[in-house]
Amino acid sequence: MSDIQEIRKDFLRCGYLKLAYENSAGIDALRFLLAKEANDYLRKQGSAERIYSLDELHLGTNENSLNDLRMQLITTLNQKENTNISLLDNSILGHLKSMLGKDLLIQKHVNLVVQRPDDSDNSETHRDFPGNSAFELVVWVPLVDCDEKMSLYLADLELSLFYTKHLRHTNGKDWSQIKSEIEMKSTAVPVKYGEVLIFMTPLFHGSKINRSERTRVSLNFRVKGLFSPAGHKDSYDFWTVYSLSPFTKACLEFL
Amino acid sequence: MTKRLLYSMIDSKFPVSSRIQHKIIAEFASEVDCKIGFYGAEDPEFFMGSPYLASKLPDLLCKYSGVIFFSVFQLPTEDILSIIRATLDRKLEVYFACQRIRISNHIDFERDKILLIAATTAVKTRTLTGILSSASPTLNSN
Repeated sequence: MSDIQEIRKDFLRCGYLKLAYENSAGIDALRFLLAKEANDYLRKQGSAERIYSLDELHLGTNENSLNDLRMQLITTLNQKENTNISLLDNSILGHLKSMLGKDLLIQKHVNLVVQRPDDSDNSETHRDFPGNSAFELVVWVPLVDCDEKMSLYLADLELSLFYTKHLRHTNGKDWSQIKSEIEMKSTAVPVKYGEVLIFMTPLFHGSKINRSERTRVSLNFRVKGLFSPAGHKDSYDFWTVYSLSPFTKACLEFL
Repeated sequence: MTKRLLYSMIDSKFPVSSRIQHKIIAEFASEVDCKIGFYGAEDPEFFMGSPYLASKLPDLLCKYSGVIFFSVFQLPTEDILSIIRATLDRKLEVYFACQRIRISNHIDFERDKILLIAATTAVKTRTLTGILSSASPTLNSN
């Protein structure tokens, strides 16, 4: 079995997979840009602190200023042309196309998540579906090395399906208890800088309070087949066309 | 002076994108001299009883002054009063960005609750009337 077949088989079993960039130029440039922007922000705020890598962001921020900086960084990211596209090298794009087809939409605006050490605002257990279509894939890109203590945890396909059915049966009334169960049974997936985690939107996932001494900084965005069912998001605002197959291009000539 | 932090709850069932909802929420937060600290949302499939918010409420006071919702219409009509009451019981204020409503305490709540019930029930009734009339056209003619 070829590597690609093996990876695809794994993905269909778990609902997620980890891939490594073959060309990290895009992500390297973004990481540099964000660190520079963070230092500019700190300087403007009158802070004497300077950071040398993004996992030091906690040194210059507190819980009150963190979101201001995060919003500033998101603005920078999304004002830059093709931030979303620069996060996909040919190898990752090849895997996405093999799963979703050649007609692809990509999320217009990339999200940035910053999790300071010991911050109680962790991303609790949740899933992106049905706000997002089940036919989308989430691409999660850490900008720092994330070991098990600061990474995402994911419930695999079987576990997510089991709890989805259970919650439907109880109409979500025991969510508080189920949330803890999912967290306990999920798998923490360490992802290094230079790797990406791709997962299905119906998978329950989240992150625990970051108990490391480093700030976790990550990006995420979604990719979807152009003609697959949409989620609840406003498609015009959320998506942009990323690639079209020659066949689709030919068909479009007639419309 | 450091601005007070609010916990933002967008409407995950509403088709307006979260980006636009965040803008409207942030604008109202700024008007009331607050800013957003974090973003949450209910699962659109399991939102009755606001289970996400209910599980977060006990931990919010240590960091937040209140919870800011996108709109009164995102809360289930059956639950809206109990959710607001539970939030106020935790010494947290309640804000609704679209309607420019600020409920700081139980006195404000008593003042506003009639309007909240009227508005949310009216929308629900409108939907029911629509369903009833399409299912049974004779209802309209009588």
